[in-house]
Amino acid sequence: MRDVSIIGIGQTKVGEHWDKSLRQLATEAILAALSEARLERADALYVGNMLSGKISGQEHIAASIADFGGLRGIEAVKVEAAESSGAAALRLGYMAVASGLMDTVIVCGVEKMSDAVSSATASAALALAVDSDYEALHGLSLAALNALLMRRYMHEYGVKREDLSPFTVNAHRNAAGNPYAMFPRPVTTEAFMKAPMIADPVSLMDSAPLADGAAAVVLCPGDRARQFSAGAVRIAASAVATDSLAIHDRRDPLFLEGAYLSAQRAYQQAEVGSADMDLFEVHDAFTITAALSLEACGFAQRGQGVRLAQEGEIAMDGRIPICTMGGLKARGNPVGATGVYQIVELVEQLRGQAGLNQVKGARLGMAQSIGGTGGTVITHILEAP
Amino acid sequence: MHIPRYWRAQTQRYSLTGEICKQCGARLFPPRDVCPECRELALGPFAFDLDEIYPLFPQALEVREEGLPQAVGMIKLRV
Repeated sequence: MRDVSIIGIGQTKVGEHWDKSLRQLATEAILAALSEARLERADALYVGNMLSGKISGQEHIAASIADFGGLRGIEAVKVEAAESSGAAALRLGYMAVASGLMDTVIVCGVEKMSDAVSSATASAALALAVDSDYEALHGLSLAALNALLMRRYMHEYGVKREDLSPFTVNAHRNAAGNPYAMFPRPVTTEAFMKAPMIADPVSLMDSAPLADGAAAVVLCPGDRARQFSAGAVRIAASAVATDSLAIHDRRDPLFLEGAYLSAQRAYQQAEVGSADMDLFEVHDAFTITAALSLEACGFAQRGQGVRLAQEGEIAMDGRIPICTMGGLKARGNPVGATGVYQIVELVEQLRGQAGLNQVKGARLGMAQSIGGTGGTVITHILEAP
Repeated sequence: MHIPRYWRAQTQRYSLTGEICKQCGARLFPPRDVCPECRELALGPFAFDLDEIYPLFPQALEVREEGLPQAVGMIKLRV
């Protein structure tokens, strides 16, 4: 197996891009990433996307993006793993280069949520990630399922709703320094408490906004990285794990077994532990998801993920800074693109190019992307040049 | 939703019938084809009873267009 490095990154601003189509967004990110890597083409393009068929009425988007982006003829395939689709595309690109089958690979995550005719359509589309027979059939959306988990968490660990506010406050504070973020402005605990309910106790401020966006990275073998880029970042680990789609099938609904397995595999591959991480791009689709992910990955004991946030340990100068560029909550959540945004942000941090949001001396960073309520969990660990 | 999707779930939905693994004895609801505990295929029907409402899971929903408000929760089955 060969080492794999990231030699170029690109991203569009996250938000509502009424003036751009899905393939235009993807092309913008891909061209930016290729330009950074000083490449015109690559051997393959892997596209992470969840909802193009449902929302834009277009499947077969990898070929479409390749053609539109001036890469006609290239090997191109779309990868779907719900909200972790972008991370799954990176995993595929990583395998292609590590195995020696490909030398240069473009990985692009893209989502175009604003093509949905209404927010109800978008919410129903997102519910495709949960168990159709047993959860979605009864009207349980992703927000409603996370409301069940959050309420149970509050009950089990004696946590109040406001105790989860530090996740949101932290994400928005960090987004203020990210020019690509959808909501680059701080919010207060008071605003968190006054936010309208989506599915009690999950409010608008617990929930990441659905958005349009595309992010891309270019990969090459580690031993060739220097010829393309002085700031090549090594992929130290790439790991996927699964769990049941439905939360009623889990041994313990408040323990994300997929996240645990995925993180353990990544730590083993990189020969590190959670204590070695300088920052963690967590999948904060909901505040409760962030807490459960921190616990499953070993950053906090069971029931202590919320305490970690309350004690300020997730801030830039804390023990484990999370959502350093705004996270899903404030950078925005372009569903199938989110996993690649996390990687782009880690690369900025590890190159020392994160501007106002730079985590000082960051050498090792981790990103975790979660599909559904934890059915697919993908963890990557990146290492500074 | 197509009618066959409801039709094929009749037994489990209306009589709480799940499965029991003939290999390891695991009781499964909803039914599945492979036992998640021992990966055995030899599964037979098993009738569950309602035990209790799993506390604090009831949930009012806003996403469904019909029959609002609707409460969804989790129940514990007696084995």
